[in-house]
Amino acid sequence: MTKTLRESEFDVSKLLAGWSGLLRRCLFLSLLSAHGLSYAVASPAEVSSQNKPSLQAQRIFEAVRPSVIQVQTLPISSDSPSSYGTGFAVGANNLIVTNYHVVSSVVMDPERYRLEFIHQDGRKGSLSIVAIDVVNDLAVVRGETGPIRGLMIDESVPEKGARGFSIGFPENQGITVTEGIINGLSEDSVRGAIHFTGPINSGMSGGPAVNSSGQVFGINVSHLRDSQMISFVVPSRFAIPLVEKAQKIGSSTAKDIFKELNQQLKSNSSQTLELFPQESLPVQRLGQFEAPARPGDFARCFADNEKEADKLYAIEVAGCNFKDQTYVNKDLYLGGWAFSYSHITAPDLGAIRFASLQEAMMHVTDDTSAANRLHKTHWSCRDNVVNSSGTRTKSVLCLRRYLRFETLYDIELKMATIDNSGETLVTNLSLTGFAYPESMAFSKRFMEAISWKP
Amino acid sequence: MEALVFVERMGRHGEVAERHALYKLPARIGRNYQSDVILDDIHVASEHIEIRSTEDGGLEIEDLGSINGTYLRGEVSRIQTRPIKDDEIYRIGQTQLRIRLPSHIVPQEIAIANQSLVRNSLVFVGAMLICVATLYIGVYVKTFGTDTSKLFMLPANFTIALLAWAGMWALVNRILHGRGNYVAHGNVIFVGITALLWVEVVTNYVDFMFDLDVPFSLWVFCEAIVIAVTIYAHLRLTTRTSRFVRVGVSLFVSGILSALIYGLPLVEEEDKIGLQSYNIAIKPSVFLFSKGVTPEEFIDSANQLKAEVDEYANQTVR
Repeated sequence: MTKTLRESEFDVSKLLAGWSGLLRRCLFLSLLSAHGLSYAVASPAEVSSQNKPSLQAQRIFEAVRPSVIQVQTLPISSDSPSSYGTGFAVGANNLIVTNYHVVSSVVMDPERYRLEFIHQDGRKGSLSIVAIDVVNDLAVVRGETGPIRGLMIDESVPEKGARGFSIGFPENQGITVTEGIINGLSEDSVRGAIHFTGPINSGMSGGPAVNSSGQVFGINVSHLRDSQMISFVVPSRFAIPLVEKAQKIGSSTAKDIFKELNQQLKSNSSQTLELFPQESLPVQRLGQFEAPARPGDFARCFADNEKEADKLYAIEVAGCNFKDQTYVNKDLYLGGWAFSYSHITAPDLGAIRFASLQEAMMHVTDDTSAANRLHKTHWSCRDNVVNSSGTRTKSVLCLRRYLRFETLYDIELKMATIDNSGETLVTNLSLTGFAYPESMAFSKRFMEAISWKP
Repeated sequence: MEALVFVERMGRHGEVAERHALYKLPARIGRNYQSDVILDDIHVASEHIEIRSTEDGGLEIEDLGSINGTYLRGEVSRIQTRPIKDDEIYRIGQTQLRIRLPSHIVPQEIAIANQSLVRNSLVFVGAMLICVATLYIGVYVKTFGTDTSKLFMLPANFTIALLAWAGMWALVNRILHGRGNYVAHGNVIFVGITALLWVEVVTNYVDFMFDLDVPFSLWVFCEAIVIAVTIYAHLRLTTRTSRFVRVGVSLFVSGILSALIYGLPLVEEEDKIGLQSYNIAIKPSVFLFSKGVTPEEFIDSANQLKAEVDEYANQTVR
C-alpha cells in the first residue's frame, strides 16, 4: 500500500488513483475469497502434481466415478470446448449437479454456447439446464446420459479435521481424485463455504466432494489466491432444494433460466442490504466527522493514512466492502457494495486551493471495467448541495442500468463536506447490480448517517 | 504648364512607387535615355511603348515592337494599341504601369479610424501580463504541494505558443498587405485566451453559488463564441472580405475547434463518472448562496435519473 503511494508523488489525482487501486484490490480479494474467481476455464499451467491416492481414496474413487461426468461448454458452431467443468448424478432422474459458473456462458448466451457431457466410459451427449442457484454457485442440468447411478447426499457439514475426497476432470487429465482435510466453514464467506485443503484444479469445479463413507458433502469450487491453490466447497445442503425444484419442474427453456437468474440476482441484492443493522448504522469517527463504520462480519474493512513532507495536506483513508459478490459471467460480478472515506486536513492551504483539492477528490473514479461496457447504460448523474446533519455536502449521485437485467442498477454516491475549509470528509459509496428502491433507501440511510460532530 | 497625363509605376503591394507627369504628347516609355519615362527594368525594350492622343480627343498606347510585349495586368494576350482607361494597369517586362489623366476623380477622404487601443504596445504588454497571471493562478490553485517553484513553466510555455500564434497572423498580414501588425494580433489572442479562461472560472463559480446544473453544452457554447470572436478579430485585421464571409469563416472554424477540444474527450471518457457527466464545482463556502436540499429530496431526484437510464436501456435493447 505504501508503495503505491510513494510511486505516485506528483499530483493529487495520481495519489488518489493509488487509493482507488487499493480499494479495487481489496474488492478483488473479496471476489477471490467468495466463490472462486477465474474458475471455469482450465489452463494447462494449473495442472497440479497429483497426491498419491491412499487405499481408501481408491475405494471411494471406484465407487463414485461411474456417477461423474465432464461438462463442456462449446461455441454453437464448433466442436472444441471453450471451457470444462465437472458434474455428478443425483437421484434417479438423470439430473446432474454442477457449479453455476461451469454453465454461466450458456445461461447468459444460449444463442452462442451449448453444453455437452462426456462420461468416462465414452458416452457423449448434450445437456440442458433445468435450475440454477447463482448466489450459491450451483446448477442442475439434465442430459441423455443413459442409466447413471445417483450419489448419496449428506447435508451436514463434516467435522473439522475429517478426511475428504474431491473428484473431477482437471483440464484434460481424465477423471481424478484428490484427498484433503476438511476445515469446517470458511470465515471469509457470508454464506458458509466449506474450507477444504485438498487441491481442486480448475476443471474439477462442479465435481462432488465426498466424505469417507462416499456421501457427497459439497460441490467443488476451484480457487486460486496469490497463485496458491486453496479449495472451497459449496455445502450440499444448498444443492438439495435445487435438485428438488429441478425434479418438480422437469425442464426449462433458456428464457426461463435467464428470467430466474434475473429474479435471483434481484432478491439477493435486497438480502445483501438487509444484512446491515436495521436500527441505526454503526459509526466511526474521522476527525470531526462521524460516518458509517464496519456494519458486520460480512464486510471487509481497511484503513490507512499518509502525510508526505512536500504536501500541504494529510489524508486518512478508511472503507469497507462486501465479501460475497456474486459471479454472474466472465468479468461480471454483481451484488457487491463498497464505501470509502478520505478525510483530508489541510490547515495551511487556503480556502480557494482547499476547495479545488476537494474538487480533485470528487473526480476520482473507480470504474475500470471496460469489459462491462456492453452490459450497461452510460452513467446519468446529478449534483446538489445537500444539508446533512450539521454540515453541508456537495453531493453527486450517478445511476446506470444493466441492459439485460431490467431491475438492476449501479449506484455511485460521492459527497464532500464543504463547510469547513481546512478539513473535509469525502465519501464514496458504490452499489453494483442492486434493485432500485432498496438501494435508494439504503443510500439515503447512508447519507443521513454522515454528520459533523466537533 | 499643366500636365497632360501621369504615368505611375506600381509597387508590389498595389501602391504607387513613382509618379511621372508628362507635359507633351506623344511620349515614349523605355529603357533608353531619350525616353520621356525611363525604366531600369532589363526586360523592357529601349523604346517600349508610346502614348499619344487620338483623333477623338482620347489617349491610346502602342507597343513599339518589343520582344516581351505589353499586357493588361493579369491577362495573357499582347496589346498592340489600346485606348487608355483610368484604372487599367499595364505590364511591360516586370514593371506595372498605370496611366491617368489630370481629370481623374479620387474617392472621398476617409476619417482616421480609432484603432489606437488594439495597436497600442502598452495595451499589448498589459494584455499579455493579465493572461500570464490568469494562467499562473489557474495552475497555483490546483497545486497542493509546498514546492511552487516550477509552476511558472506552464504559463511560460503557453505564452510562448501564443506569441508564435500572433507571429503567424502577423506574417500573413505582412504577405497580404505589406505590414505585420504584430501588436494588434498579439492583443487579439491574449484578450481572447484570457476571456476563455475567465468564462470557465465564472461558469464554475456561478454553478457553485446557486447550485445550478450549468449544462456542459452551454459552457462549450460560451467558449465557442469567445473562440469565434477571436478568430473574427484576426480575420478583420488580415482580410478585406465582407463581414458576412468573416463571420461565416470564424463560426465554422470555432465550431470545429470546439468539437475537437471539448468533444473528443467526451467520446473517449463517455463511461467514466466525473468528467463531463456532471459539474462538481466546489468553491469556498462563503460563495454559496443556495439553500441546498435535504438528503430525502436529493435521493428522490434519482427517479429522474432512473427514467433516463431506463429509456436509454430500453432503446438499446430494442
